[in-house]
Amino acid sequence: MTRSSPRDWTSTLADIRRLNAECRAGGPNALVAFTDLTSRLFCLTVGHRHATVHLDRGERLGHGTVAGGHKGEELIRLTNDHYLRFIVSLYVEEQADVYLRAKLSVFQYQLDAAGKDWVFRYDYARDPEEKRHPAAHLHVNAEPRVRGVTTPRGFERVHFFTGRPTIESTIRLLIEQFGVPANSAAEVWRPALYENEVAFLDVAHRPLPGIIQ
Amino acid sequence: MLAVQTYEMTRDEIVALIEAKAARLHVDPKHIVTAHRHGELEDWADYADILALAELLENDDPLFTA
Repeated sequence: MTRSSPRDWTSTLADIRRLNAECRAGGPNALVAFTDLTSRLFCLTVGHRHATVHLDRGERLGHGTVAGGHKGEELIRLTNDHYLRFIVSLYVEEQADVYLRAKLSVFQYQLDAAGKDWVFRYDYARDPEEKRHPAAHLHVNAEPRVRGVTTPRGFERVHFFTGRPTIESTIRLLIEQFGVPANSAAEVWRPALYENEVAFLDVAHRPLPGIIQ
Repeated sequence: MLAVQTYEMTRDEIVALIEAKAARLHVDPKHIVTAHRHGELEDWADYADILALAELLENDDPLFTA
């Protein structure tokens, strides 16, 4: 990935709109469209010039996994040389007009490739058998600054209930709260993330925070 | 855009990848997947890569049922 001119971003923005529409359309092309969409969102924002994403597919029709790196990997290298552990397990409903669905997703910001120095992680799982904890939650690898906080399994194992985590909100958090440099100007990436996120949330499964359904 | 790759894998390639990842974590892949499906896995995200690969296999794959 290389830094592009403003004209190139215009092309990327147009691609993002088109690919989002292809994801919404569902069908067999939606998995590839989601992979390309992910690539462009990170290209526009916090993806390192050598970062990669990949799509794994098997013989089970309509199923795929989009993850960072190459086959067997899951890390997207960021512009600050840290990493986002990125895994989205996807499937397409048989009905042709149904939006691509995520079975589970993990977005984990980590300082090292091994993941020992992870900072936060958004988890999402759709299906009831996976809802031992609320479908969407946040983990923070930290300790409270005050005494007396009881957490049976450690603070980093607390499931902070959230709404549906999105790629866009995770990227926004990285840029705005963790200072990860963006590849494009704020006037470019802000509206692009907003537009894509609104379109996604319009059709997304949005579990109520904290409710185990 | 970031470089994008698509990997079309056979059942055996997927199973080999799952087993390699499970070996690195010193876990039994069958246990991880079945425990997850029964809601008995406390921290499923630790094994999200294994679970995501397992989704590429049919539900009655011998890896889970044997």
